Amino acid sequence: MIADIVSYLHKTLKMSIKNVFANIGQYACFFAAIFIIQVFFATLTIIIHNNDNTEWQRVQDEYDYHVVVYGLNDDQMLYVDNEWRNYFGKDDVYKNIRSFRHYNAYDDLSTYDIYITLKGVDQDALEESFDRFYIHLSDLSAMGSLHYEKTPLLNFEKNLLTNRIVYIIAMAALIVLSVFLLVILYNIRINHYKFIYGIYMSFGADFKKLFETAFWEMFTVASITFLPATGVSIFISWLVLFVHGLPFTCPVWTLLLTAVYGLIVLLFSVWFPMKLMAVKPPMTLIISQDNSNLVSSPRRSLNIFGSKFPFTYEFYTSWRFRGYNLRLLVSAVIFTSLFICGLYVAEITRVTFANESPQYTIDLSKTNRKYDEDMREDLYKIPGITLVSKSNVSDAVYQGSHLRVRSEYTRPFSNLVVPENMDGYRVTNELQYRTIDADIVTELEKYDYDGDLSAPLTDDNVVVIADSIANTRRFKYKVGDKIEIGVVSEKLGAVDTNLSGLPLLKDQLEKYRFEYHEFTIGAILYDIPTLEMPIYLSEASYEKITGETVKYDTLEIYVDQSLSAADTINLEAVLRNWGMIYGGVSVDNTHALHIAAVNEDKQYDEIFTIVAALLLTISPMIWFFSQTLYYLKRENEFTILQSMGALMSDIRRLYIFGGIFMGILSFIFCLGLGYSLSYLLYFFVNVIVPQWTLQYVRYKFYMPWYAILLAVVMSVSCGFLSAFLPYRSFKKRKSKTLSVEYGEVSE
Amino acid sequence: MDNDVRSRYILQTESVIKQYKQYDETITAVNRVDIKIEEGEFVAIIGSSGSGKSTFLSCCAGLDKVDAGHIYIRGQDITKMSHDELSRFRGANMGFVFQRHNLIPQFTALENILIPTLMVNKKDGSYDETLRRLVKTLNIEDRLHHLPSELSGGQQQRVAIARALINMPQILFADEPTGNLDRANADEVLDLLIKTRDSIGQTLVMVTHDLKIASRADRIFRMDNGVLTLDRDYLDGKRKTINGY
Repeated sequence: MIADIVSYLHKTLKMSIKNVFANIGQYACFFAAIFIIQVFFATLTIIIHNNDNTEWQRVQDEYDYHVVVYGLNDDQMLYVDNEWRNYFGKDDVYKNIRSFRHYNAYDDLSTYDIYITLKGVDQDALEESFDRFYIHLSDLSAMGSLHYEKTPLLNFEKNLLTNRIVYIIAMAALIVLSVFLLVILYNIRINHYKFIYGIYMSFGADFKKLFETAFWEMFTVASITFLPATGVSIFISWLVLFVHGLPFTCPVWTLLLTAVYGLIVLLFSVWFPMKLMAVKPPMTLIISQDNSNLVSSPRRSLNIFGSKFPFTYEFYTSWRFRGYNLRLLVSAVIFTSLFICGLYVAEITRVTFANESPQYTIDLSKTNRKYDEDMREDLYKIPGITLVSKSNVSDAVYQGSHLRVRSEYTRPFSNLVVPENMDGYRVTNELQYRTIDADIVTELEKYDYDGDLSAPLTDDNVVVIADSIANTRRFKYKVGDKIEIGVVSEKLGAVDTNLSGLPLLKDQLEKYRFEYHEFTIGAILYDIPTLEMPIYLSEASYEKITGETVKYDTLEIYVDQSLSAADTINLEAVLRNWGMIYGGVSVDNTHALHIAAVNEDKQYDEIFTIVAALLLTISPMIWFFSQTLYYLKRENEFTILQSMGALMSDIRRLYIFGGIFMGILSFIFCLGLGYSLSYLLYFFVNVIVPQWTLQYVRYKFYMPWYAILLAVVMSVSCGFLSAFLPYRSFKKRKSKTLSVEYGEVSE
Repeated sequence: MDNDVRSRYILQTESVIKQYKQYDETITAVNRVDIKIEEGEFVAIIGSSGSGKSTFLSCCAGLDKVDAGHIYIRGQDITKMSHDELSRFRGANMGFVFQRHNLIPQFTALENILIPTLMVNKKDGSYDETLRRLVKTLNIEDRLHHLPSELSGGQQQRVAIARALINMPQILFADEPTGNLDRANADEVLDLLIKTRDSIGQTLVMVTHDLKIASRADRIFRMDNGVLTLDRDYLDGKRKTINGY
């Protein structure tokens, strides 16, 4: 059995190697493509492996505790001090490495925070320790409220799992992209060598045979490119990490994994084209060889040496090969478009990670205190705090209210409800009422806006609005225009509780009566992230429209981005002390600074830029591989034309015309496809993604001029040169023989 | 008709139709053709250019699809076979000599001849004797390592014939196998084909323009506008009686 396998591999590989090297020209493009694919996989695998190490290192550097238990009262703390020691005895499951006492002199109350390190080296041991620890931790809840929080040091492996899932998704996407590339190249090859496959199939080659042959040939190519590709990948990965001062390792398994990905790509990329070809009758494959050598349509042939030659002739030829031309244009230009999109993805990553998140969230809901000027002042006195963000929000859909808009203020495709009995109006309940004060005005100033954001602070009839819903501009309002908010005045019947969104609004319009409140637009926000359209009202107007009392239950604390990990722990203690003073206020650490630092370490934007650059290199490969084979096939046709009197200069003009034709088309395709794909991406991240998950960033449409220029120049020059360069080799081959066969060769 | 009756014939067709679309016109290249060929027979198909004889031959060899009808080889309906089954069946049972020899230009004569052995995974050495005999008989021993472009038309055709015979197929379809050869060479090639037929009991179905070559067949059919008929003149001349016609 083993001997059979060895013999099979020996025979097959020997034949594949011979075939590949005997037809090295045919396979040159595959060498380049597979090399790039291997660089893709190896670079990403190595960098992502190093990212895991870097993240682990950072977690260890920034955290010396696994759990923080905070807000313990005196009884709970006493229980911790006395009973836990009894329970755990000498079994050192946990270690209290740090504790803080917060004292409220006014009420003479104390609370305590304790920072716990659990016993265990690996995740399983830590989990086990935590489970044992948790049994006694939960005892504390009988003596008062219990707050605890796990840190990234305890959750690292869970975070790692998330990283793994992202990695698997990225690899799956890359496999699809790589298969797509190789299938394109393989189809080009098949298209030009149909005849050979037709002969193989005539003499008994079935799909298995065709697949085996093709696979082992590609395997041979992949084996040859593997070492150089991994060398280049190691260098790129090292460089990326070195530039940012991060450590670098490259274990063997990352390279083995790269080889496995390569094999998966080869299997699929050979399977698809061969499966499609194996179902064709061999005769159609053999005959296509003859058809490709047709001079031109017989109906047009009479004119070819008249005034219409050579340009009209070549124009007809371009039409005759329209399927081929279209496939070539799309498949080659799509990679330059993907290059532009790759840069957009890098930009999206940059913008996402540059977006600051709050380091702490404060929950005021359990206190009797309303967030007031004293609390605010005390918070801003704490060193390190840069912004205290608060919001008071109410969705219109819960209020049963809506916005009524005159149709001339709406943009096309704004997806608003057209109400009956309200001529010239559109309505929507995709609204969010928010209060505004001086602090919120300051926060809103970071967005692009027109008008006076402070206007609602002095006039209750003025509002600040965004002009978009779901990050898409829907309205044509200007500052000073009026908006009308409909509030339920009478309910004539019950609405269908199964409905939501716009269908619910339609039902409400039928069954409720509304009173409309007019407001003047004081300012319009253009690039604020929106799922529903925000309307900022003064506190008085907010209470009038929503019927709710203004209460800021949640505060988000933004901190100085340069704070160290130790600083954030101290700040956390100070904040909890502040919370203690105001009674029952809980403070949660989001670890935002740590997450931001980890994300920055991962260099996603640079990885995407590298992927984009590699994608750009694929396009010339497709152009030159396909066009070289195409013109090689047409050499018979040109020879026949010469035999009928065409001069070499005429033939050269055919090539030039073909080059200009493809150059112009590639210019159009490059811009069209580049714009379309970028817009799709823009739409996806701004409109689709926010519907699945909370998103606090609104991305701008991004097509950098240098990327467009590079992509267009590459597409146009490849389109032209891939047609013109084959002329030189044709001329070289023919110049020696034509004078003999057809008389004088004229330039 | 049951399978026992069908398996009496190595090749049998029932109402085979093959049509092409050219612009708005539908051309019936093969029109309801029925034929029965017994094992070991040498059948020639003659007819004018464009009469559909090559198309019919391709259909019989499973190289082209039929639009209607059935083709049985050794009692098995090849029109019902999957693509892979058909390929394997073709490799195991059939050989084909193309009208334009269709050698692969990048391969040497020897490599071209050995293609069918690779396609059916023949073990190394199992075909050596056949190869030696074929290249000797076809007189291409000193041309084996030449590319097709370095061979004359006659030599290319001999290589194509060697390729068709290397697996010793039970049925050989030959489309104008002597079209590019001079009289002497044509006779020689035909002698070889007939000798091979005699030695292994092979069936030979040949499309030809050459009446002299056709005259050596057991039966001659004439293809005219896609319709196949037994050539009565020839039949009368030879005073042959064929079952079923």
